[in-house]
Amino acid sequence: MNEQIQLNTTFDESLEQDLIAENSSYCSWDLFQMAYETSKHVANPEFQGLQSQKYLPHVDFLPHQMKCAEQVVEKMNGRAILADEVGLGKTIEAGLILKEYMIRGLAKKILILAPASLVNQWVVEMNTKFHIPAVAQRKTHVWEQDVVVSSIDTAKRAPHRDIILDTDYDFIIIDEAHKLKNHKTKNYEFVRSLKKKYCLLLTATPVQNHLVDIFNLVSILKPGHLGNYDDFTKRFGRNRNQLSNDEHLKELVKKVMVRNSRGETGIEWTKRNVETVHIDFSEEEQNTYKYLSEVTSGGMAFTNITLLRELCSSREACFLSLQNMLKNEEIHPSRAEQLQEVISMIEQMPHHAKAQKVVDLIGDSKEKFIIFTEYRATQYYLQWYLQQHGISSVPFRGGFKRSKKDWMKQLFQNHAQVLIATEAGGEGINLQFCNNMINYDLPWNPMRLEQRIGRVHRFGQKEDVNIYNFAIRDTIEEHVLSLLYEKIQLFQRVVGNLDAILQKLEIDNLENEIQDIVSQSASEGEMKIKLDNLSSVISYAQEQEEQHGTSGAS
Amino acid sequence: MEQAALHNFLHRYFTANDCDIVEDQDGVMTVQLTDEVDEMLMNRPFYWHYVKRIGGQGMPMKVTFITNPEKQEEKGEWIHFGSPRLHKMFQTLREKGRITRQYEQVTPSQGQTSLVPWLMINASVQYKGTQRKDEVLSIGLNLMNGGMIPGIMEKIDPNKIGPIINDYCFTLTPMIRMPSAIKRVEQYINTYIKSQDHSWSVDALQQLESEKELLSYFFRHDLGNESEQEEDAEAKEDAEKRYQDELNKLEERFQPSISVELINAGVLYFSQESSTRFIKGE
Repeated sequence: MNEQIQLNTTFDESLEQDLIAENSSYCSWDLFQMAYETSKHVANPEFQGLQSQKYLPHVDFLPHQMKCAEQVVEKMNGRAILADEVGLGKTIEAGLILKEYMIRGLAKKILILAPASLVNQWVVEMNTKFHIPAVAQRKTHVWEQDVVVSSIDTAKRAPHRDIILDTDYDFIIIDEAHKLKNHKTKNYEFVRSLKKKYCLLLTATPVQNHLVDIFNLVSILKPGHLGNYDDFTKRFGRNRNQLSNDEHLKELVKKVMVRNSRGETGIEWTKRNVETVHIDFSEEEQNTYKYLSEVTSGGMAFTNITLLRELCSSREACFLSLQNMLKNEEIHPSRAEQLQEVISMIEQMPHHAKAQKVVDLIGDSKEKFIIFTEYRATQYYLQWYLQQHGISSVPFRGGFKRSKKDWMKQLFQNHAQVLIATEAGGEGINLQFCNNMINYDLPWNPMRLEQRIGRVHRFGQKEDVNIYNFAIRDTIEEHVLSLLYEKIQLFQRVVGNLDAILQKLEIDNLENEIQDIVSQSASEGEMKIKLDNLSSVISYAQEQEEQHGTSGAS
Repeated sequence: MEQAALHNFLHRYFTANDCDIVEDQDGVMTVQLTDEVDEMLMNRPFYWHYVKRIGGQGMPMKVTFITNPEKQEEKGEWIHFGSPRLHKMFQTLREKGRITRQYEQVTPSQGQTSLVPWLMINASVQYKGTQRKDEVLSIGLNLMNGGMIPGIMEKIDPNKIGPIINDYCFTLTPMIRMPSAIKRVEQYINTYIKSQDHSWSVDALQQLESEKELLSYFFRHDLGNESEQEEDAEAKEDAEKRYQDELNKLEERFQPSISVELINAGVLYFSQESSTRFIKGE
C-alpha cells in the first residue's frame, strides 16, 4: 500500500471499558442489528457517481443539472463556478452538489452567502428540496449552526466577520458572485480570506466581466490556476476579447466553470410572447415633453435625459427630480425659471397615459401581473391609481427587509393581483406562478431587463409568458425600444449571448452608450441614425456569432 | 431502501423502542411514541426541558408515518429514504445500539453446558481520496482460541440468542483479554485494508501535488521578496497566512486517508457447536 496514505485503524479507548463494564446498559439484539443494517445502508460503496439523488426522490432533476453536479464533484473536485444562464436552476445544482458532499461526510460546516433579498429563498429551498437544515443568519449565535445562510454585507461586518474568518468551513457557496469580480473591494478581500475546502461561485453573467475579473473569480477557487496576477496581465493584458480568442485560456476556464445555456438543455421552454404597447401622450403631456426636450436640447446633460425618461414614467417621478434640482443645486436663474415652468406644466397634467393603459390591459382579467418600473415615485403613483380602479396590488423593492419581501411575495401569490416592483426588486424573487409582465418603463441596461424577465420566465413556469413593453410614441422611450431593443431581438433571445457580443464589440456599458448618443446628438434625426447604427452593429455581430457558434467561455 | 422495506424498518424500529403501534394499514402507520422516543425524534427540546423543569408528566406525541407512495397526500408524515426523520432514527440507532451482550439460548440435554465468549466488532472503513467511499466490516473473534471470522453478523440466527443466559449454562473465562482482543481486530482490519487495491489514492496524490505547485506559483511574488517596507511586510505576512490556509485546505481535500469508525460491538457467548460451525465457515 502507498505509504502516503494516512491510515488509522484504532478504535476509541472507551470501547474496551464499555465492553467489559458489568453495569453497562446493553442494548437488545434488535437495536444492535438495526444499527448495523442502517450503517450498511447509508454507506457509499463507490467513489464515483452521485448518491444525493436517491436521497431526494421528491425532486425531479433535469439532465443538465445532474450532469453539472457530476462534473463538479468528479472532475472539479468540489470547487467550481456555476454560470448557467438565468433561470436554469443554479441553486438546484448547488444544492445537489452540497448534498452529495454532506452525504459522503465531507461537508459539515457550511456557509452560504447570498444577496440579502435571496437569503430566505435559499433557506427554504435547502430545507424543502434538499433536507439540508439551513438557517438564516439573524443573531450572532446562529453561527454555531452547521449550515448558515447570510448576506455578504452582514457577514463582513463585526461581530460576524471575526467569527466567520475564524471558522474552518467545509463548504462555501457564494451566490451572485459576479459582484466579487473586483479584487480591490472589501467583499473580495473578505471572501478571499474565508477558510474553505469546497467552494461554489454562482453567477449568471461571468463573461461580461473583463478577463481580469475572470482571473479574480478563478483565483478565489483555485489560486494559480490562471497563473499569478503579473503573468496574467502581462500575457492577456486587459483586452476583453481575449477569452474567446485564446483557446488555451478557454480550456483553463472550462476546467473550473460549468455553463449551460437554455438552448443546450434540451428542455421545452414555454414561449415568450412579446408585445410592444404604443401609447400616446395626452395633449398636456405632449406639450410638457416637448417643452422639456426643447429647454434641454442642445447638448443634453445626463440629468435632462433622466427628466425626460421620468416624464415618460410618471408626473411624480419627474416632479420629484425637478424639485430636488431646484432645492439642491446651484443653478442658473434662467434654468431655474425653465424648471419652474415645467413644474407648473406638470401640475396641470391629468393622469398619466401609461397608468390608464395598465388598467385597460389588466381589465377584467383574473390573471396575475408584475409591473416593473424604474422609479419609486411611479411605484407609489401606480399603486394609488390601481387602487382607485379596484385592482389590488402590492409593492416590492430592494430596500425592503427580508421578512417584508417574503410577506409581499406571499400576499401577491395568495391575495393581490398585481405586484409593482422597482428595479432592485428584480433580483432574487422567483415568481413563476405569474406569467404576465409589464415593463412599465425600460431600463437602458439589457442585463437588468433579462433579470426582470428571469423572474417569471424560468424553470418551473408552466404557461407561456406574456411580456408587455410600454413605450410612449415619439419619445426617447420609443426610440430606444424600437430602434434598439426590438432590432436586436432583446426580448426573444438569451442575454448570456448578448453579453458576449457586447464584449466583443468592446461595449462596456450599453446604458452609457445610449446616453452618449442621446446627449450628443444635435437633433432627433441624428439620434435615430446613431441608435440605428448601434443596433446594426450589434445585430451583425449576433449573426456572426450564430454562424461561428462561439460565445465567451461556453 | 425500498418503500416496503422502509415500512418494515419503521415497524421494527418502534417495536424495538417499546412504542405502541396503534394502527398499521397499507403503508400508513400510527405510532404512540414513548417519552424517550419523542425526545429523540420529534425535535422539541424546549417542551421536554420545560416538562422536566416543572417535574410534570410529558405528553408524548402520536404520529402517523406514511410509506406508501400512493398515500402521500393523506394526513401524516411521508417517510422516504431522504427524509430527515428517518436519518434521525438511523442516528439514534447508532447511539442506542452501540454495545450489546448476548447468549446463545441452548437447552442442554444433560448436565451443564459451557458457552464460548466472542468479541464482535462492526466497523465502517472510510476511504477518502478526492471522493469518499465506505466499507462495512463485521468481525468476530473467538476469545478462547483467537479464531477470526469475517462477516459474522450475517451468520448469526437472531432467534437463537437472548440477553439472559439460560439455566444450566455457564460462560468460559476468556483466554484473550479485552485490550489485546481489540488490538487483534484492529490488526486484522489493518492487514485487510493493506491488501486492497489503492489505485484511487494515486489520482488524489497527483492532484494534490499539481495543486500545490499551482498554489506556490500563484504566491511566488507575494512570498519571495524581502522588503524593508513595513507595509510590504504586512502584506507579505497576510499573503503567507493565506498561502498556508490554502495549503492546509488542499491537503484536507486531497490527502488520501483511510480511517476506521466503530459502528457497534458486543460480547456474545456461543455454544461449542456454534463456535465450531463459525470457524468452519458454515
